[in-house]
Amino acid sequence: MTDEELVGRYRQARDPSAFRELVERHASRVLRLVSAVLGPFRHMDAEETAQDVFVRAHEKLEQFRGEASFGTWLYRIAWSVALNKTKAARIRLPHVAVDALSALASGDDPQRDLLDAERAALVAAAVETLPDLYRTAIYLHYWQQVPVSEIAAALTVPENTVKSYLLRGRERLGQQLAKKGLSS
Amino acid sequence: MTTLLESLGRLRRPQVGPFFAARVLARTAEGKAPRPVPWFLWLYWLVLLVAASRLLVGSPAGLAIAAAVAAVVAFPAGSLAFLLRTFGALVREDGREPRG
Repeated sequence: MTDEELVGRYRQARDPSAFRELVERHASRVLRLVSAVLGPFRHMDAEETAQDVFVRAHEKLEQFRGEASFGTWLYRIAWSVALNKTKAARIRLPHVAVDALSALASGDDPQRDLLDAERAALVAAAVETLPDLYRTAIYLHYWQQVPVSEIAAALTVPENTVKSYLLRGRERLGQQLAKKGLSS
Repeated sequence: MTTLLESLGRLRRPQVGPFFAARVLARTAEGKAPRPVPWFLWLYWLVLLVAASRLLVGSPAGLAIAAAVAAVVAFPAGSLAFLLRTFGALVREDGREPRG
């Protein structure tokens, strides 16, 4: 059954299993997009924000006309909800501590993990200063390890546009990290 | 630069929890329940209604406004359409060039 058929079933019969199926199908992608918009410094809020996205989608389900696919419609909601949340969070907490991420890495070699995490934290702090679209594309690609085609679907832009976001984001980051004495 | 960015991949990525869908469904069900209106909001509307009534009942124009508002409240779609049609007709009438 397609997403659109599930939406139709939910609208007609208010069958919760239809909406549940939609949530289960899209939860991972929505969470990835939301996490990338919020960034690794606010990863604790990601799951709750992803839930907010589905609750908002549920409220607006009657407005879904099927002009775009359900996934595209849902990702637009996810983008908007996550962006509002990150803006509110930045007002509350405008500066993030670089060492806030040092505990996130985990592996077999704790010393190397710590160094990697510190480096990742510095890079992430620089990524945080990028414009929304560049930042999200970079987090999706390098942190969430999402392929360009899927990023294009999530951001509802062509693949070449995603490549351009990544290129420009890397250029800006290179300049910022060089100033901090960190370069590849 | 790419090497530095790849270090981001070492950071923990949020995962969908086992009860994610259940939590979403619980929240959507909560949303359907009507929320109780606080008492002070009822009081606010009551005071506003009394004050507005006193002002409106004092003049024929006020009575006409009250009647129009009551009609819109009672029959939202029908009366709004009627008001829009009437207003549209008045505007067309005003904008018409004099014949002659």
